[in-house]
Amino acid sequence: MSDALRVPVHTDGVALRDGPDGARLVDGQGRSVWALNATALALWELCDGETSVEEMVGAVAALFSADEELMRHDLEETFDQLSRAGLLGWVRASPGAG
Amino acid sequence: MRSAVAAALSAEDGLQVVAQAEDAGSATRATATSRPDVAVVSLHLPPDGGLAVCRGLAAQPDAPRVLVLSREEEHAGLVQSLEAGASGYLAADANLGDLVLAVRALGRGEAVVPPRMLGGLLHDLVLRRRQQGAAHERWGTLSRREREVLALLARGLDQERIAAELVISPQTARTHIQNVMGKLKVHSRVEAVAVALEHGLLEVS
Repeated sequence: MSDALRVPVHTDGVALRDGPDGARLVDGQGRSVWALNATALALWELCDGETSVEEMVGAVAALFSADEELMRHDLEETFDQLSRAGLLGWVRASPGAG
Repeated sequence: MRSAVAAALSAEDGLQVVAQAEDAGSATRATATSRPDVAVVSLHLPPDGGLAVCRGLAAQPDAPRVLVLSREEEHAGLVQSLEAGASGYLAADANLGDLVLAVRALGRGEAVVPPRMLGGLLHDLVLRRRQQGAAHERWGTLSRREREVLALLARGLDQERIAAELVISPQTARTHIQNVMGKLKVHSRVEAVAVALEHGLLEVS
């Protein structure tokens, strides 16, 4: 699936837990596998199977006046890591998705 | 609260409180005179709230970065503050340490949003940009004449006057208006104008 057609989505069974050290992703076996800072948590919430990486980049860059190219690279790298850890998947974008 | 905030900021290395103001008018004047790097503005500044002050500050040359203080964390207030040109938002019950950190962050050119509110804000931004994109796409389907008709609607002209202005028949003007409404996917002339203005597709002098 080409990058332009895919959007990120949470893997089934992965849960978000609040703890004393902040938010963490917990896999299907209840193991805490990934810590999320505030921005990462906000982006995780956007991984709804409808919002594209490009849309996320646009929103974050607009809010924080960040460099879009750098942001895109960081985001794609992070999502690829989450994907390799089995926490995130990719689905085909619907026609109305960014 | 203003005194406590000023005292906390004044006690910090590298920060200097250059002015204080108790209402919107004096805040605008003080900012123009003292040219601060960061302005801390209460969302509830008398007499009419702090959003107008934010917009006024954003329009100044060498505008300060604005941190809005609100009585409570509230999504609509956050969005309105950012739209008014603020770069940061904090609830008034944030501790003074967080306030100092926020002021320093704004001074470095960073934005400050309460972590709990960031997810909702980003979601909102994504939706707004999608709506903006859709509106621009629909605008692109309007013919030059249809855009002229919409601009005249925005000036308050009715069908008869639009026809006279464009030297066309009232029936043709009506057809253009209906086409505009159809292409913009709206149900009224007022809505057509509102959509165009909201998304910056039209300017009305």
